[in-house]
Amino acid sequence: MSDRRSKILGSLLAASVADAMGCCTENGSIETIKKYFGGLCTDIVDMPEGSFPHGGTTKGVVTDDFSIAYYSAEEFLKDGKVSEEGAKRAVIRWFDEPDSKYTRYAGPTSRAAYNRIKGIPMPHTKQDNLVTRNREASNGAAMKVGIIGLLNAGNVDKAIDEAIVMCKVTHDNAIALSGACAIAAATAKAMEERVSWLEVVEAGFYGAREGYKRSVDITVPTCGATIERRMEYAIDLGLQYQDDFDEAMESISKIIGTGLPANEAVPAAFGIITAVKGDIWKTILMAVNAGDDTDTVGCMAGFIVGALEGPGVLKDKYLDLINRENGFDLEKMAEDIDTYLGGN
Amino acid sequence: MRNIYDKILGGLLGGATGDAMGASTEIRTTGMIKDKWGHLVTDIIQAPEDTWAHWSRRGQVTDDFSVSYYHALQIIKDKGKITEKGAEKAVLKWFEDPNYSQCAGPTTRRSIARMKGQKLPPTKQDRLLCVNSRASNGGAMKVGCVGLFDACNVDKAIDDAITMCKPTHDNTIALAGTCAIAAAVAEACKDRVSYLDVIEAGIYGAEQGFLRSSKIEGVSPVAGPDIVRRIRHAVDLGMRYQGRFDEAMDILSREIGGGLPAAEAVPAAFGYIAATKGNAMDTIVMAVNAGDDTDTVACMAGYIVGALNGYDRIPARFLELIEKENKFDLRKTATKICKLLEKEDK
Repeated sequence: MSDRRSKILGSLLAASVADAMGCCTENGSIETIKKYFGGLCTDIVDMPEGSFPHGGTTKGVVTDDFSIAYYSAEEFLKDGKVSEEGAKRAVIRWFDEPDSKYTRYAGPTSRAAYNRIKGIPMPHTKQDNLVTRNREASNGAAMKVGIIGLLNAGNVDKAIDEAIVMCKVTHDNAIALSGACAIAAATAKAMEERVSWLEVVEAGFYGAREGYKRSVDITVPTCGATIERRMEYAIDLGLQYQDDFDEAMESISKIIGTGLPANEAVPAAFGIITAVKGDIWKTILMAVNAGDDTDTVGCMAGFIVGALEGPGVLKDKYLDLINRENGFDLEKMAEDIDTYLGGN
Repeated sequence: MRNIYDKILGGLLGGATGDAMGASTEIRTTGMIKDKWGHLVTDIIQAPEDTWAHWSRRGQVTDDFSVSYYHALQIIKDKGKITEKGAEKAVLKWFEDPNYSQCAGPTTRRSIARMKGQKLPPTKQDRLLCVNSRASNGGAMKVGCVGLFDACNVDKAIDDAITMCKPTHDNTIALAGTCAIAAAVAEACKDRVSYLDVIEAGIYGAEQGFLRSSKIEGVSPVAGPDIVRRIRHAVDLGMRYQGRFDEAMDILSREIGGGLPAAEAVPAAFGYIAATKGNAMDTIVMAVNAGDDTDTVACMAGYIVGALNGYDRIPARFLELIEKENKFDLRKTATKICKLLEKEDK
């Protein structure tokens, strides 16, 4: 397998593994996760029905994060390009699939987008006349956008533009899109040969700034803390605790937060990558155990560090499980993306 | 030396002023506020059509101060005792006013249905240990009055804040934020106290609020940022930009945020107090113009700096306007709170 294809597979695999593993811990706090697992959650496990939200799901099934990214990639590959139409088709197909394993995870912003695309009239709400839609600044754009980084391997600027094209369909605001562009840019950069985690983090930072600038005038206004500022602080914390896994995880989780808002989850992902210097397994572990929206933070960070390092040990351990339980073929997709990228 | 009445009325007026002023700027960014009005909002003005408080007249408060005021009236009726039962009564009475009930947030609305014994429609969240979206600022927004009834008694304010807000916000992060505000208001009522003492009391309140509430049955753990660490960070930023109003406001709103989560709104309030060294109107104006949930942050911060500085640092015309438009009697309420405090002293 070529280096490039190996990096692509690493990215798809790390994102999906983190998503499936985060599915076990999502919503818990660091403390409740520790209590439940008797320490860190270190594997994809069967979760019984109970106090965690995804109890009862089959082990290895990914959630909305990676599945919607995968569906989007299929559409873009079929078309040979990234487009708004392709992104819309992916959302429709993802929601309409009979017996879908994934739609139960759909967030409110994505669901509203589905109705909008399909022309389904929405019940009038009190929020309709508001000048800003601050609650839509969620991580639902960033969670699926890693794929754009792969389709724009090495081309950070184009990744930023195409991240906006893909995600504006569901998340029409500059904070969510700034977060999405950070992840897409970092993933695109991570696809370069001989690149370091630091350069990748820098690209993410550039993506956050540019993504905001390029989308702010074409989207519904939103008010909230900026991705850029919070990333600065998260990266700072990551650097400060680089050799202390627990302290890094604790401070990123407790100061930055790892929740649904884009301005928590995205900065947290970069803080985590910084804290473990881009190590693929440690990134997944920290994201999965940092609490709150663990599967999303893990999926976003996984796209980036997987591209940086390639699949490594994840391949033997998890590739079959992820493919089997989700009906995916990640190796075939890696090959298709490699072909899409052309000449080597 | 300031008379305790000045401080108690200051707390009430500060909270009400912040809320009434923030009603017009809520959900906008600082940039959008400047675009709309050509400058920062420094007065109580009519709320525009495209915001939550579109229903209100100039001078009317929103859910934040109104629910707090109803709690204060109930506590007076209960002779200064703060109980869960009294808290429930106050919330139910408040909810009868359609102006206020339409602003009730999802967490409060749910609790009211539960108090009324209504069957709640089952949701996907029912079996969850942590419902992280409920770690909102809805406890902290109304708790300032507790700090007045427990003037100068920070530890009691923390316990009473939990008692009063647990019926609606039964999770550790919302309650930690709540206790931070109550503790800071209680400290601010002391004689010859500085804004630094008040910030320290707030941090102590958040710490203790988290610890004490996590030991109480029925209070759920939640995953989310730690209020203590976020207050420290916000205060750090505020201190660094003291004397530079616009820059301080900008950095705090971009980094800390001033939104619905308790872990944004409460730290932001302390950040503004630090940035303005506890100046009453500067703090309120910063909270009103920093964007997002401005009326809530300004109400919480207003309670604190109002008590710290006394009512006469807030324009008297605000007092008149607010009393008239809301049919509140803040002065009489302050007098009654003072009488209860005197009794305790004896």
